[in-house]
Amino acid sequence: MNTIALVGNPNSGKTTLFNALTGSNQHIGNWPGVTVEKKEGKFKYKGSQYTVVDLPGTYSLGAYSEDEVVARNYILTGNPDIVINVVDATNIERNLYLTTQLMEMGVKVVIALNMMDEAKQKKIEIDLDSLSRSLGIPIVATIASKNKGLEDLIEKAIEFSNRNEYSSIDFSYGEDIDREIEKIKEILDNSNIEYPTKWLAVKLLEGDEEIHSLIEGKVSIPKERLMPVGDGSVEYELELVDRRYDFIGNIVGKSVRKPMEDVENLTDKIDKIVTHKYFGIPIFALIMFVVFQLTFVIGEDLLGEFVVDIVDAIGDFVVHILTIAHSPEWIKSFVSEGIFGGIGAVFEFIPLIVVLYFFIGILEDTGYMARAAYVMDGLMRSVGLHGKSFISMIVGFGCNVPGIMSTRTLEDKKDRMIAILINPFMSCGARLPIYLVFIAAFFPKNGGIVLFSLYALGIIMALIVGKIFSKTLFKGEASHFIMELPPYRMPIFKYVVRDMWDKVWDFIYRAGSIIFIVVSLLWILSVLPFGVEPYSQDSILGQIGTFLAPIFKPAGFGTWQATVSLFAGIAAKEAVVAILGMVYAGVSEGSQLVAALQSVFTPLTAMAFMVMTLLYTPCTAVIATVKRETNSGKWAVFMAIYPFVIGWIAAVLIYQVGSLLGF
Amino acid sequence: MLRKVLYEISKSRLYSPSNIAKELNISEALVEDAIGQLIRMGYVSQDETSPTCDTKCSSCAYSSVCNTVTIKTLSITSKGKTLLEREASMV
Repeated sequence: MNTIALVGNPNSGKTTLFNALTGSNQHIGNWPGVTVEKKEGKFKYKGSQYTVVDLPGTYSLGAYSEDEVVARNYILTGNPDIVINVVDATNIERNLYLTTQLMEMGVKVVIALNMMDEAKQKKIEIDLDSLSRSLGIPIVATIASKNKGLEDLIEKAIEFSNRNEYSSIDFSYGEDIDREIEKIKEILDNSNIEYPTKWLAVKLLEGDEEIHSLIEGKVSIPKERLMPVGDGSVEYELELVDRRYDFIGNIVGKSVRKPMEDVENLTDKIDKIVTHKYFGIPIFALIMFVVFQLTFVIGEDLLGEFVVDIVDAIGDFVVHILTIAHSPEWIKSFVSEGIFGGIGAVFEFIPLIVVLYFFIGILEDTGYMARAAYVMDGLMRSVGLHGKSFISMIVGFGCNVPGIMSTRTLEDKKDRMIAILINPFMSCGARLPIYLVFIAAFFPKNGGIVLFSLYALGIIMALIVGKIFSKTLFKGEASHFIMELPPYRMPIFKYVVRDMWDKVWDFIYRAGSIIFIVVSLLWILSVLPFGVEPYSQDSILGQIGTFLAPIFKPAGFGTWQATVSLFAGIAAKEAVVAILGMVYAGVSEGSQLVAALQSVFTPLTAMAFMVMTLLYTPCTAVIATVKRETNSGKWAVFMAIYPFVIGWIAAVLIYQVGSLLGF
Repeated sequence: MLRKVLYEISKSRLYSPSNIAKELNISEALVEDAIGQLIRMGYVSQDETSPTCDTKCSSCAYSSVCNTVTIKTLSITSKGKTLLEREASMV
């Protein structure tokens, strides 16, 4: 013997064993025709030299991945003297599936039962003799990472390779299937084929096209006879795989003893409460409420002023430098009111955004969001929507563009259209600064409640509109799906912070790019024509705003400033605050946007304005995504108009009803 | 085992590999393996909320705001439903 093939599941310790055997005597290349890495090494044992080939980690020897094909082809055509199957002792049932396939191939196999130390730690008891007898394969316990058992393994491998016997598997796949295998085998036995015919017959019955191609030129029998599909009463592939698992289950049952797991673990206990039929939704609402409250307590009270002071200080410093440099007045005006009044107004809310994303990141990392999707799934179904729509809605809380893209998981076109059309009601991160500035101005004591109410209103509105669509535009039954509940886990601080930083950085980047362009363009319009009072009603911007403002008069905020900010928000939602900051920076003493808003809005009109921004036309990126995803300009136009109408009606209702009630 | 796992999945709108593992007295890894086999054979289809689009995250302008929460969902295909019905009729 001189060639040993190492085969095993990924993470079974196969490569550790390879390294332990060969040390630095390795050669790394690629398998021909594929990008899979080929590792070969040599070692000497008792005066003889051996070559070890480390095959790609794989769970089976089918033809579903390059790794599987490479491993299978090498075992079949590479003529290794022996195959060492590295089996993870802590996960023996799963690993033995590959073993059964090696046995079916009729090659010489020795099992290296690896990670025995970890199995011991997990109190898994394995009767090696019983397992070896049941499988008919030599088994050696190894701990490759500590070089334990390797000499014994090599000794057994050499001894077995010198014996005139091969590993085989001797169990029935059931009478019907055994008969079919035998029929195919007979055909193959009568042909000039060098591969093990029983194994080929099994693979052909499984429907393995790769194997059929391998023998196609050598057997002149129609494919239907080599790969029968049956009469529909037997599912060959399922039966074959299932029998292998049954075989493994029986053997493991006799030879392996594992500690009993707790009947009900912590995840089960928590899930009983958080996915409860009646308590699930209130718990979800409570958790989100607490998140919003904490956002205000930590983000605003502890960090808010700090960033405001920094932005103001930088603004004053830059203007001071420009003054010293005798810069023209218009440049100073652009920098102080356009950039620091506008974009600076957006920057001041970064602490709140940081804190909110941090808490949402924690919820995601713990696995709770899957529970939230599940409890909302029930509500979605009750109003005739597909439960999966809520998953895309959760994604929409970050940004509506990926939210809409994630509706691709909905197979039914009607379900998908509804999910796309209601997604922009999910309040994306870009709308957050708008709420935050108005909350700071009018509802500083109840920030958490107001923010929570806005997010909740978005969900409620999505449900109502979705229900209307499902009864009118897109009638049909919602399809069924099953959701996985992953186990809870402790959030990993590093990942939460990294995710949070990604989102915050994107916010800063957009403020410095898209918002900068929008603000620059609108600043030009706000100081032209020459000679007018900057940011006044006489400017081009003021005139456009004044022309459009009557639209919003019934909603209580029919000022030209509010109007231009809303229309600028269609370009990008962050622009709303930036424009408000810019146009009010010039008219308000102290250039403080919050103070300026307090002088022109009331709590009622502020609420109407926030609801308008929550519900009205999404940004152009979302509209473009709708066009792309629906492949229809018609739906893109619909997406631009219908939320505007809904937002306007909601804002008018709030203002008019509120006024009647004396707010 | 594959049939049993398919049946366990079909029982409810929720599934968790650890619960199925406990129910069938097998390891969680084996349940995941079985679900993988069922998907591969077309009895079950799986999707995740992410990645759901053709664009690679590295070249997507929205990757940083794209929610990373991964919620796996399964649907039993018509092939899977036929198998379950056949199994039920045999009981």
